[in-house]
Amino acid sequence: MIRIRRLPLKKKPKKQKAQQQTSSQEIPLSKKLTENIHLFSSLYQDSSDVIFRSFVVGKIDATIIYIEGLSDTHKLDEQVLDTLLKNEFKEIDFLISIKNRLPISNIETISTFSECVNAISAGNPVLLLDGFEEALSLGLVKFEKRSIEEPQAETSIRGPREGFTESLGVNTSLLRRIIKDPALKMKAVHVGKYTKTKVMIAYIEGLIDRTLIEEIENRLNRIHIDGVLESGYIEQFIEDSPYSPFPQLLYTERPDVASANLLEGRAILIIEGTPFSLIAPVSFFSLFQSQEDYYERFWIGTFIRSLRFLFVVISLFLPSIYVAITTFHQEMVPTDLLLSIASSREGVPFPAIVEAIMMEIAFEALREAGIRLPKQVGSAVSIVGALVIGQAAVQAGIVSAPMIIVVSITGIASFMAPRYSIGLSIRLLRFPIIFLAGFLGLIGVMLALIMIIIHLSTLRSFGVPYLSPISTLQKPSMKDTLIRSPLWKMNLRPHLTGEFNAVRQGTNLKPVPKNGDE
Amino acid sequence: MKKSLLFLMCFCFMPTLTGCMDRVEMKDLAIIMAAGIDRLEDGQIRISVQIFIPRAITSGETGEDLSQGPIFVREGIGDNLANAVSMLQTNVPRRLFWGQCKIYIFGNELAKGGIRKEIDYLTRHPGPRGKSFLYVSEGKARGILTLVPPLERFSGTALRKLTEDEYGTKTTLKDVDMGLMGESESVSIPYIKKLESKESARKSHETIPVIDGTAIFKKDRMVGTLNIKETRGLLWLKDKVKRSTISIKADDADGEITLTPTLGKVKFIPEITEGHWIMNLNINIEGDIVQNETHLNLMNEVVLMKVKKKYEVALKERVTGTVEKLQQEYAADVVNFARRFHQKYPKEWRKVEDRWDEKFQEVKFKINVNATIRRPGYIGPPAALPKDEVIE
Amino acid sequence: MIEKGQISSLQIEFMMVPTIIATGILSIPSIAGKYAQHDMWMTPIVGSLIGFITVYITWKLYQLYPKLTPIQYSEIILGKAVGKIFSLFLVSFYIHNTGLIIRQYTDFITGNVMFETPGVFFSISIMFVSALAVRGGIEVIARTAVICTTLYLITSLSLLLLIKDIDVTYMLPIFENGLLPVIKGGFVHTAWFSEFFLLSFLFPFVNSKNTGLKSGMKASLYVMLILLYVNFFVLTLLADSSANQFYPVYSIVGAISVLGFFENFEAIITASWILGNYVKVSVFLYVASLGLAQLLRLSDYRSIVFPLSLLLIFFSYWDIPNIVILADYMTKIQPFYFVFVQTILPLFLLLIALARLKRSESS
Repeated sequence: MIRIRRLPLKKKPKKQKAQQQTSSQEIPLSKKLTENIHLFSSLYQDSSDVIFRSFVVGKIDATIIYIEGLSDTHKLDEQVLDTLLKNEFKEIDFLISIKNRLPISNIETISTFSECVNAISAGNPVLLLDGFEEALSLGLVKFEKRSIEEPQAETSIRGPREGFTESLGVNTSLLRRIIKDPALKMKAVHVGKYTKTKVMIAYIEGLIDRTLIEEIENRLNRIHIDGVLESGYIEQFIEDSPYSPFPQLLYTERPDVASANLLEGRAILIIEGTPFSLIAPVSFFSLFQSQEDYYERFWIGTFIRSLRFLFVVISLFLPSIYVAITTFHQEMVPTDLLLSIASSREGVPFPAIVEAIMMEIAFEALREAGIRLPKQVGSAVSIVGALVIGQAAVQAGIVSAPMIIVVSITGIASFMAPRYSIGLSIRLLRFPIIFLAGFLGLIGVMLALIMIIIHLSTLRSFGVPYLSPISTLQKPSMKDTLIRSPLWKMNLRPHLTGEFNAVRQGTNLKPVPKNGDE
Repeated sequence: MKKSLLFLMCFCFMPTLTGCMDRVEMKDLAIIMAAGIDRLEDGQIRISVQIFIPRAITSGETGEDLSQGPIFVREGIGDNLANAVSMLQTNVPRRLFWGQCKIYIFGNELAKGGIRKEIDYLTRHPGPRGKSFLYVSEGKARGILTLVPPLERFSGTALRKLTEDEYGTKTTLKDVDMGLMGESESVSIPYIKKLESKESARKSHETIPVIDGTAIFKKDRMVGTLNIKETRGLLWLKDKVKRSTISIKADDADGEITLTPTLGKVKFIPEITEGHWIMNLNINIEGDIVQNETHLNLMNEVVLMKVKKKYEVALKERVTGTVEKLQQEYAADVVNFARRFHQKYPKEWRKVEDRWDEKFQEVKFKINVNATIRRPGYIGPPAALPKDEVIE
Repeated sequence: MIEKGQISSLQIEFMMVPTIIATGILSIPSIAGKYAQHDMWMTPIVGSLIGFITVYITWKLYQLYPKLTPIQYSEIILGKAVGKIFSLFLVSFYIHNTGLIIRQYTDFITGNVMFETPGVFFSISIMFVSALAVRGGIEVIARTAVICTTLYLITSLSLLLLIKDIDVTYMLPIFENGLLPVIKGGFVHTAWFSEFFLLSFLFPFVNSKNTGLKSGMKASLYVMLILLYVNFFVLTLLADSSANQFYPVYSIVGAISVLGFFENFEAIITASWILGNYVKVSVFLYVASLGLAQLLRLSDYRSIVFPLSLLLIFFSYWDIPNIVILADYMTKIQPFYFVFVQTILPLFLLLIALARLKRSESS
C-alpha cells in the first residue's frame, strides 16, 4: 500500500505568481501589429539577439520575431519568407490559408503574449500579422546540441551505448524508441521563474499508480524557484525527507535504465538541460542495482551484487571497526596480527581515532582534488598523495601502515556502489561512525548500525518504504534485491510500484531444451 | 537548526570524554604472551610474565640482539595471585593486557601445594581466556619464561605450537575447571621442562621448553607425573594419537619394526556385574609402518598379520601400564572413567560418588586392542637389502 | 486510534523472537543448568508450554476485542474502575520490566566487554536508540526488527563452528533424577515465555485478521528451538560447569576458532546480540509507552517516549545493587511474578469476558 505523505502546498508563492502573470503575461494579443511590436520590443529591450523582421504579406504588415541561434534561419528564409513573399493569399481566412500554405510541420496558433514569449524562448519564430489577435508559432527550432554519446557516469561493458543528452526532445525520443507502446505518457511541467525549464513526467499508463503521478505533479508545481540547472534542484525540492543523508530519488543517464524502471511501474522525470533523469520512487536496494546485473547471467549478477553489499558494509564500517578493535577489543585480533599492528603503531604519535579521521579526511581531499582538477593536474595530485601519504608518512612514523591499508581498502570499497549518490552518503556517514567507535568501541559501531537501520526504516520515497521489500517481507520482490534471480523467475513486478498490474510475464518461461532433439 | 548544532557539538566532544574509560591505545598496552606462577619458599606467590616489546620487531631496524628476543620478563610477588598481579602492574609502565596470553605455567612447588586458588583467579578474571593452555613446569615456572627459542619468537609460542600438535595432553583452563568439578575430580596437565641445548654456539638459555610427560592432579594437588611413554598411553585413551611411534620386536627376526599410530578410537564400555566394576576399553587403532629394521618382507600377508598382533600387544601393554599407574599409584581418574559409569549406571554411581577414589582402585580394566596396519609405507620389502636376504 | 501503522504477521515473528531470547539466552542456560544439570537441554520444551498457552489466551482476547489493546479492553471487561487499576498495574509492570532489561543489558556489557566505562552510558545509548525507533511507530520497529533479527540469528550460527569440540555424552544419563529437575528448569523459562503476552499490544496492528495465532505460535516454537540449540551447545561443551557461570553462552563462544587464526568471537557475538537486545528494548518500550498513553488517554504516545525512557533508566538502577541479586530475582521471583501477570491474569480476563458474553447472549 502506498501511503504518500503529501507535502503541504505553500500558498504564498502561488499568489505572487498569479499577480505577476496577470500583470504582463496573460494579456491577449492586440489587433494592431504596432501595439504588439511595441510591447514585444519593450519586453526584449536590450536583447540584441532577438530579431524583429518586418515585411508585407499581400497588403498586410507582418513581423517575425525570433532569437538568433535558437531558430533555423535557413529554413525561415527558404520556407517561410519565400512562401509568404512570393504567394498571394485569400483575404478571407487569411490566417488559416497562411497556415495551410506554409511548408512547416509544426505550426501553432497562439493568442497571448505569454504564449508568444514561450514560443520565442523555445526557439520557435513567431509570426505576427496586423489585424489579427492571433499569431503563429513556427516550429523551426534548431540549436547546437551534443550528439548522443556513451554515458560517462554509468558505463557498462555490455548494454546500449547511448545516453541521454542535455536536450529534452532527444531524451524523450530515446525513450520512445525503446518503449513503442502508446501507453508511455509524457506530461510536461514547467519549473523555474526565469529558466522555465520543462520537466517531463514519463510513465506507463496502466502500470503506475495514478496517485503517484498526481503527487509528483503536485510536488513539482510547489517548486517556486528562479531556475533549474540540473536534476539535483528538482530532486531536493521533491524528496520526502530533506534532512536524510540518503538519496531518495535515483538519477540515470541511460535510456535502458529509465525504460526498465518505467516497466516496473515507476515514473521518470526528464529535465531539460541535463542528461540526468530522475527515477521515482526508489528503494534502498535499487541503489545497488546496475543495468549489467540483468544483462549478464544471473549467477554473475548475484555474485557481483553480493560483492557490492559486502564492500558497502566494508566502506561504511572498516575504519571504525579498526579503531574499535585497536583501542577497545585488542583480544579479538589474532595474536600475530596484533603484534604486527602493535609494533607498527609503536612510534605513531596520534591516538588511533585521530589517525583514522586524519587519514580519511586526507583521502577524501585527494579524491575531491582528483575529480575537480583538470585531468593533467589530477594525476599529479594522485602521485603526490600516494607518495606523501602512502610512503613518507609511514616511514616518518607519523601514520601507521595498517591505517593506510584500512583507508585504501575503504576507498576502493566506496567505489563499488554502482550509484555515485549512495557512495557519497556512505562517505559522509563514515565519520560519525568513527567517532562512535572511538567512544564506545564495537558497541558504538553497533549503535550506529542500529541508528542507520532505524533511519532507513523511517524513510519513504514517494510513499514507498525505503527498505522494502526486505524489511516489509514481500517475498516475490525479494528476488531482485540481495540476489538477482533468473529473469524467467521474476514473474511479478515489484511490490508497491508495480502492483497495479502485477504480472510481468508469462509463467514457465524457463528455457527447456526439447526432448529428443539430439 | 540550533538543535542539530548542539547535537553535532556533543558528537564532536564525545571522543574527549573517553580518556578515563576502556579506551586504551595499543602503545599503552603491555601485551602479555605467557605467564608463570610460582610459590616461593616463604609461601608467597610470584607471577612472572613475558611482555612483548613492540619496538623489537619493527621492520628495517638493525642491530637487534637476537639472543634477547622481542620480550622481557617481569614479575610481581604477593601473598596471593591477585596481589601478585597488582604488584606486577606497578612494575610495568603500561597497562597489562591479558587478552592474548594463552600460556599459563605453574611451578612444581605450587602444583604440589594445590592450584585451586590460582584457577579461581584465572577463571574469575575477565582477561584470561578459557582456551588458554596450562602447564606444570619442572622447577620454577620463571625459568621457562626466560628461555629464548631459536625458531619461534617467544618460548610461549614454541610451547603452544608443541601442544597444538598434540605431543602432550592439551589441557585448557576450561578443561581444568570442568575436570576438577566433574565426577572424577582429577585432571592431567602437561609437564614441561627446559630442553638442554647441545649446541656450543648457543647460550644455555637459547632453547625451548618441551613436554616431558604429564602431571597428574587429584583434587587440585599434583600427585605425580607420567613419563613420556605413559603419556602416550594416556593420549590413546583420550583419542589423541598423533606423531608418536611405537616399536615392536618380531619373533623370528632381529631388529624392530616401528609403527606410527594414526586414527585411533577408544570405546569405553562400563559394566557392573555382581558388584564388580569393570571398564571395557575397546581401542581401535590404525598404524603406518615407518621403519623396518628386520629382514621381513612386509608385503607378505602372513608377516603383516604377525606384525599386527605384535602391534596390538604392544599397544595394550602401553595402555595397561598407564592405567595401572593411574589406578594403583596415584588413584587419580584423569581420563574420567567415573563419568562413563555415572552415565550408564546412575544409581550405582550415587552410592560410590563420595568415595570414588577408593572405588577407582577396585575397578577392573579389560583392554581390548584392535589394530589395523593401513599401509607399510612407500616400500614393501626391506630397503637396501639383497633379495636373497629377505625373509618371506 | 493512536497508532496508524500496520504490520504483517510475519514481521511479528521477527519482532517476538529476539524479544524473548535476547536476555533469555544470557541467563537461561545457567539457571536451567542449576536445576536440571545434564537434562537442561530439554528444559525449553517444558518452558515453551507456557508460551503456547499465553499466545492462545492472547489470541482469544484479541478475537473478542479486535483493534483494542489490553489497556482498552480491560476497562470493558472489568468495568471502569477495576479496569483502570488493572491497566495501571500492567503498564507499571512493563515499565519496571523494561528497566530490568536495560539493567541486564548494561550489566552484561560492563561485566564482559567494557569493564571501566560507566554502565549508564550503555543504558542511555540503547534507550536513546530504541526511543528513536519507538517514535517512528510500530512500522519502523517492525522493519528494523526484520533486519536486526536476521543479522542476530545469522551470527548465532557461529556456534556450529564448535561442532567438532562437543561431547554428546555429557547429555547422559537422561532423566537421572527423574522429571522433576527438568520441570523445575523449564519453569525458569516460563518468565520469558510468558512475555508472549506482549502480542496483545501488537495484534491490533496486524494487517490480516487471521494469521496472528499462527505467527504467535510459530514465534514461540522458534524461541524454543533456538533455546534448545543454545542449551545443547552449552551442555555438550561445558557440562555441569555451565551452572557456575553467569553467562555460559558467552564463554562457549570464546572457544570458537576458525582455522586457528580467527579466534575470540566474543566481541562480535556481543555486538550482534546488541541488535537483538535493541529489538527487545524497543518492543517493550513501545508497549510501555503505548499502554501509558492509552491509560492517560493521550492523543499521541510519541511525546511521552523520551520522558518515559528517562524514567526507565532510573528504574534500571532502582533496587538492584548487583548481578547476584539480579540472578536471584530471575530465579526465584521472576517466574512466578511474570507468569502471574502475563498468563494468569489474562486468563482471568478471558474467562470473565467469556462469562459476560454468555450472559449477554442468554439475556
